[in-house]
Amino acid sequence: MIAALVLLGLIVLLVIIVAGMYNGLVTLRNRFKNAFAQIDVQLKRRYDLIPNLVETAKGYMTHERETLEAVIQARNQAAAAEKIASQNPSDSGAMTGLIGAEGALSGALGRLFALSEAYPDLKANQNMMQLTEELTSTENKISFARQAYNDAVTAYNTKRELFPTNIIAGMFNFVAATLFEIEDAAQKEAPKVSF
Amino acid sequence: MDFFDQQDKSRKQTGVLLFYFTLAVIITIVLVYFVPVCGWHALKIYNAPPDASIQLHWWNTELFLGVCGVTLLVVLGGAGIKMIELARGGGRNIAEMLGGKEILPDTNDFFERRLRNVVEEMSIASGVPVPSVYVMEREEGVNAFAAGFNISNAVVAVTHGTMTGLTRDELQGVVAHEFSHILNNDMAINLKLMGFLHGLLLIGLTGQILLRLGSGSGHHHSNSRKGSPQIFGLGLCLLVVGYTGVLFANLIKASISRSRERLADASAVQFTRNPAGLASALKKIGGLSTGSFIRSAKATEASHLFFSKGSRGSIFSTHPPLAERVRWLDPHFNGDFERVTYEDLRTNLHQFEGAPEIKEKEQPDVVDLFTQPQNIAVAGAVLETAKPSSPQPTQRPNNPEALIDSIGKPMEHHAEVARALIDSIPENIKAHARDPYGARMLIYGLLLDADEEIRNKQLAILKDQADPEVYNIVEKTLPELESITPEMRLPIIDLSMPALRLLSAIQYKNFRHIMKTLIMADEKIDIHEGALYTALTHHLDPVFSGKAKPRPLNYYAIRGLEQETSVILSLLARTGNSPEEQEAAFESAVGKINAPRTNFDLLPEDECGWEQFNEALNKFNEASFKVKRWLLGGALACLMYDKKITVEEVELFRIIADTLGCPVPPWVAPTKTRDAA
Repeated sequence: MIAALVLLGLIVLLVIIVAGMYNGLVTLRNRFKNAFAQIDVQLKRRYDLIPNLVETAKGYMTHERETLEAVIQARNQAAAAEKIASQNPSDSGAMTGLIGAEGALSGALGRLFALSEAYPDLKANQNMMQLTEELTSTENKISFARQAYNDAVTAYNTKRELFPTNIIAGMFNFVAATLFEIEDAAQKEAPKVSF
Repeated sequence: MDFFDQQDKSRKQTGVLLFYFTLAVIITIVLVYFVPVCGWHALKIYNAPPDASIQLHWWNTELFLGVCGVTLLVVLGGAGIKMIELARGGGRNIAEMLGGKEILPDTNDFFERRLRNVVEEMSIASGVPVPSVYVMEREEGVNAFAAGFNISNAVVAVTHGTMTGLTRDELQGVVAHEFSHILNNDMAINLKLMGFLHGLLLIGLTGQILLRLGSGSGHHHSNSRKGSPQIFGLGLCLLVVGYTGVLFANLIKASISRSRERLADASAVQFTRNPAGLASALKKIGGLSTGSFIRSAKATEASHLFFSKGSRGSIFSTHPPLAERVRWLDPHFNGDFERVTYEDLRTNLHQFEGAPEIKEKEQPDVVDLFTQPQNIAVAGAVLETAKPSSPQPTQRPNNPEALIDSIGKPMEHHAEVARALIDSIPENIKAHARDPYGARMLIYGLLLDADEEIRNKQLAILKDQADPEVYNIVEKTLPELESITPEMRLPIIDLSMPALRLLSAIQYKNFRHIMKTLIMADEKIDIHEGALYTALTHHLDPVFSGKAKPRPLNYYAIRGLEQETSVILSLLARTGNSPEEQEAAFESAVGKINAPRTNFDLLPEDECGWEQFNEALNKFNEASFKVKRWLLGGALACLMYDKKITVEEVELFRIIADTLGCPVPPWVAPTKTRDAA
């Protein structure tokens, strides 16, 4: 009887410990999801700015319709990817999609800005200057928020992999989260034109 | 009863709680022992032949000790672990557990912005850093709660129904009620209650699991065993016993919670001077079909946290009856709640406050610019429509002695001052304060020296150590930073707090380092620098170190804190007075404390630096509120010795008090409004 009671006590203790570890994982997962919300806000802001930017540029860069359309298309794709990712930031597939789309968008924007160098009137346009300014500050905020997000993801992933939490993580299907690292498509493409 | 007595009394309530809890545990142990024994005897009598004489063994020491050990292990272990868990994350964890989502400080959504504005006003008015705000998006009932174990990790959470269904006045009433919980230190008690309750709940939970194991369902064994009656029986017993324990726990909870709720209602009215707002919010709860119902499964455990009782039809109500609460506020109330629907409320808000209509605004996923030009505002649209026009607050006669009496008791005129203060802060600065990127820069900006030479040195540090963009923004914002008057500094720091909490641990470490370097650029620490550093590190360090936990109470008399008191008063005497007056200022402070058999010395300057000062303040956090009151009285006497008190001195005093968990409402109104500027 005593032995049974002790056993029971031990089982209960084990359940308590497991629950504690489980809750710890949930907390960390909530943290990085919250951190994603910060990026999300800034990304949305950027998606709102881009159409205005293109609209302004359209008047000057009449021969660059293709580039402008590419920017809009990249923006739309990124906005669609962001929508999916914001629903569940722990889904690594959605996150990879967003990272890819964001990379493409940065590349397209980079090309737009490179081309705009040839249009001094556009660069002097008040609206354009303001938009570029807004865009730069939004991108800085994105990269800052991304840093916070990546720190949160790293904390979660580390906890997930460490013993003994890894057993719990496996049991309750805590999947690894993906870091938000944007590869700059423009940088990747640069070597292509070197010849 | 003033704030300090209130706080100490609130702490004593923990003792009462502990007493009841022990009682509940003892009863549970007895029940755990006797219910199975009785069952066993009943079985014996039932099975025995009618003429046999049955020997009943009521006492078995070994069994009793075993039961004691296991029950204690389960209940105390469960309660302890739960409490550690709750304390670890403070209010954030609880809000997240109940399905809350944090509202970002720089949100542009109408309702979220409105809620944040109300919370920001209340915080500035009560002199506490703005708490993080959560919304429970799936909850349509009208309800709210505040959680955390002290002011710096408190969160305010409201349901979606509260956020989008109530008018601004009603929302203000609800938020003021929650702030009263924060200021009255009810949250700490509530957390302990949750922990104890969880421990008692565990026994019933164990019973439930055993019941399932015993009946064989849920677990499929290869040999298709049909469960064991012994385990089933034991499980049933534990379930019965466990829920008896929960019954007791609920009784305790109800008795403690109800009086606190009444007090919070009363303080909320004092704060907003608008009983109609709170009354009307309560009436809406009565009139809505969803009422204040909380769907989340975890709500029972936390029912005492809420604004209005979250679960329906409980005889162990954690809140006074709704009609009675309305009648306290509005004596003419006849007890009939007018039926309203959520849709009515939204339409009303749309009409009178310019809220967006109820139709789910779905943004077009894809914009095709070439066929459909977009017209999106360039600058972030800041929603200010919901803000009532703020009358210029009447300047109160400034009597510094009143500072102490106002601690933890914000009044209507404080709310007015707060509104004026927020209004007087340049829009751009406010926008920066509300996002982590800008908030960091803003704090750097606040540390810039007025002296050209030192400032250039500081800017060079920024250029070197922060990323270049931060430097650019600081430089661009310089003219606005210069327009900041001393009384705006603390509100700005308070406003930036939610955004700064969103930094990652690594970002915070970096931020803290740069802050320190900027302060030390001129190789000395000014009052305002020291004050800013104290306020920020005190509230943010625990958030990032992961060591946030309630402080134990170690000092009941100022005698144990002689050295600390000397450090604090010496620093104040040396910074606030001319060299020849320092000695006398210190003496007047000591006279004010007037504690027998104590010995305080005015320390030389190198022994009372800001580092020692901060450490001393931390020590004082382990003192009773009576002791804190003495210290604050002394500190004020010290600052006031030269018969004039500057805004910097008042702000320093407010920060010291805030660090000790005694928030002082704003004392000076802004010297100029933005229209005049």
